[in-house]
Amino acid sequence: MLHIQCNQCGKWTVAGPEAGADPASALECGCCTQAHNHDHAASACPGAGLNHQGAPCSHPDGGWACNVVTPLGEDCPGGHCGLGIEGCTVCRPITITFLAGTVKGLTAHA
Amino acid sequence: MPNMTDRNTSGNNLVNKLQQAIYCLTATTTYTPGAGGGSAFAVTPPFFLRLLTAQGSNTANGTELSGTGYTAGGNTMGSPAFGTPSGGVIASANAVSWTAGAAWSAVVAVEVWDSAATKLRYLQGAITSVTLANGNTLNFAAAAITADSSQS
Repeated sequence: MLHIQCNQCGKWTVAGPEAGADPASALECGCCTQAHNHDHAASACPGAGLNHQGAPCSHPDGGWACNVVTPLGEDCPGGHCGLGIEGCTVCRPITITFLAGTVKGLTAHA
Repeated sequence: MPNMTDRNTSGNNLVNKLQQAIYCLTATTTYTPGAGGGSAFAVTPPFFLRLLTAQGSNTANGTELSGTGYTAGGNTMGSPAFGTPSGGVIASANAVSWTAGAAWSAVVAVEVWDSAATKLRYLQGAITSVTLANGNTLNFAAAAITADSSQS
């Protein structure tokens, strides 16, 4: 079983192993009500982990955990946009947790 | 006398003691057997949890994840890495987590390694396959990972 929680609003759910392939879709919350894959834009960000390829980034860790995505070649709709802003491209980061006792029976190296 | 174990929770608890002697260490410890008892060996904590994109076996390592936000060699499991064993089963004592800095390949297994100069693998096993998007966090709660040393 996987515990899947929205990092923004804290809403969570517990889902079966089938949710592992697309955990974001297993959680519904009010942070993003658009009918799209909440992970797609974030994973497609060309600057992910690269401090936006040298571009200024106000995220405190330099973009490593940035969850704001503006598609390459498009103007940012307003710095780090936010929930409720028209055209918001804030993706919805989640935390996937393996709960106690869910990784069983590790075996020793021979 | 195959699979001889003592996992009696009110008896000698030999398996529990063996698990404690390895997985509950907080400092490097060398075990030196008596004459004719085999070679000495050292156990070097802290243990590290590695994420794999392909599971290995009990005799071969799996394929470690390579992705932004993940450092080769994994993350520490804390010290001690595991809690008090019971009935031959020992569980991780601390949470371990990562935040993906880009989309990750599916993580399908984990391995537990020590911190020796030449690192040694101790445990391995499959997990529920999970795929992380950029910005998502993967967390193993305390006691999420268990090893059963009394099984054959």
